[in-house]
Amino acid sequence: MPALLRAIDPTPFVTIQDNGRRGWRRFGVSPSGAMDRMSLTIANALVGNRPTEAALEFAHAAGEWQVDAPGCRIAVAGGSFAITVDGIPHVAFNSITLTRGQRLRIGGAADAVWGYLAVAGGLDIPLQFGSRSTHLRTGIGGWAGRAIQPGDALPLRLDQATDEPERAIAPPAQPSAPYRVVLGPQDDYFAESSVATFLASSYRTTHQMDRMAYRLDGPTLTHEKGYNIITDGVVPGSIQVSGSGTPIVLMRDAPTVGGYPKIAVIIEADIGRLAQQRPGTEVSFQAISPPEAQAVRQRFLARMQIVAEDLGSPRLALARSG
Amino acid sequence: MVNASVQALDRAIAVANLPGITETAPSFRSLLIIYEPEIIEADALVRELRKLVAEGLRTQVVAGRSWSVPVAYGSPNDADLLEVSAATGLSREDVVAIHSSAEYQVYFVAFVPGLPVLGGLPPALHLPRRPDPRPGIQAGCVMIGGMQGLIVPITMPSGWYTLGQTPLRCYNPGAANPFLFRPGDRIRFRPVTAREADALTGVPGERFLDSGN
Repeated sequence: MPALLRAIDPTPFVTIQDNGRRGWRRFGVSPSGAMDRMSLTIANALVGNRPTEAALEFAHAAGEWQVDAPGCRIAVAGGSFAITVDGIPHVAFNSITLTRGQRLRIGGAADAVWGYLAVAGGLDIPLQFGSRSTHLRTGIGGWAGRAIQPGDALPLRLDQATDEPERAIAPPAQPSAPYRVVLGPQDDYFAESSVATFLASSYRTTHQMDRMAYRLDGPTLTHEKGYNIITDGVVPGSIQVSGSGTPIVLMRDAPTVGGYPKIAVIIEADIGRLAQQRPGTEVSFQAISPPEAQAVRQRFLARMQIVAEDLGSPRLALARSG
Repeated sequence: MVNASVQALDRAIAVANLPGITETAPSFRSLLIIYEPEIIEADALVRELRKLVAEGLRTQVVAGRSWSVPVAYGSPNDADLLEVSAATGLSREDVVAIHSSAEYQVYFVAFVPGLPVLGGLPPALHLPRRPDPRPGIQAGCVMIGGMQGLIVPITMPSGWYTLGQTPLRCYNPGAANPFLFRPGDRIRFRPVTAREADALTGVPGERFLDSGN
């Protein structure tokens, strides 16, 4: 009998996400992937998976789930989500072993938007275009290209939980430092004073946030050469400024191209941190040079590697959790 | 034509097989290059790209295939066709005749999976896009907007005008080759009746390649 994770009462925006797809932009396929890659890495490491294994990504809360297998180890990362198993409280950033029929409930967190529910061994679902990530708008990947619905039963690769000690990690620090950007590629479409305004002002995240884009509230930016460019490629982190002068940060599910000028691009290491800011949070931006961005990226990748390797060793995890 | 240079650079990069480049994606006049700075640093990458350009891009190479795409003009309804006719001052028949007499080139494939953006729309049919996109445009709709044309691969919103519908599907998720068109391909539209279009539904897209490809 196959091991299953059943969605009893899932929240509306639970999708399967891994590190996203590469190589398909030229055919119009969005990269998708986890909004917060560090948290995906942590959730996976807690259950002994490789860092980019597909997990369930949820917005604000995940609802109620049930394991249909003799045993299954899971972990939740991303924020301090309120977790119960058969009504008994558990904490995020710790692995938890569930037995058949136990009800897992994942409620809200005050310090995050996106959470990750990783399952030891991973979900047994096929790749589409080299990834298991879901792109809801085009119905690609994940679970039939859609969000998880009540009654869905996701097949698991493992039907037994390991008897290794449970793993834990201290929740990662969430520095409120400015978000680092590389200016361009169309910063010359804006008045010089507007680029200065963009870098010197505080913006606020709004309720207009989803896997495709985050709209920011704050001083409007003035285009000097109009707000239509000849459509060109965009990447997650691109900050488009539409006709209204409002910055819009493109996220993982953004289309492959866009027609608004991009004043700057948020560096990879800071995209996940921005993704986790709840509506109404103050954010600001700091311009760095491409070589600096390259150095920060290397440190970010190294940090993810360390998280994965440290937790990958039960001995270390045991030492850490005392 | 700057898009020819974009496509030539894209081909040159593919042939050169530069280490560290994970993917490239052409658009009208630019090429998005995704690379891993751990393998090739930005400065070094730019040097390599300049070298390729200095060696001379083969913009004259016609890499694309040639397609004859059947279109039932006026399907699923002719509201947009009549609107285009009114806006251009051309008769409905002239709009169809002009649209189906041109040869289009696939500039790039973008926005949603498999959507070909087409250059070569005759100037008589250049129209500003609608200020607001309309939701629910169906797969197969053959549209024009600005100076371009497109074929809709999956249901999506669009501010362009639908001239007709083709039974061809430019995105077939389950197929071995899910994307019918590639940048550089050439397309001509062939008017067919709605009944003929129905009869062609489900016919594999490759059957609409011109002989001699």
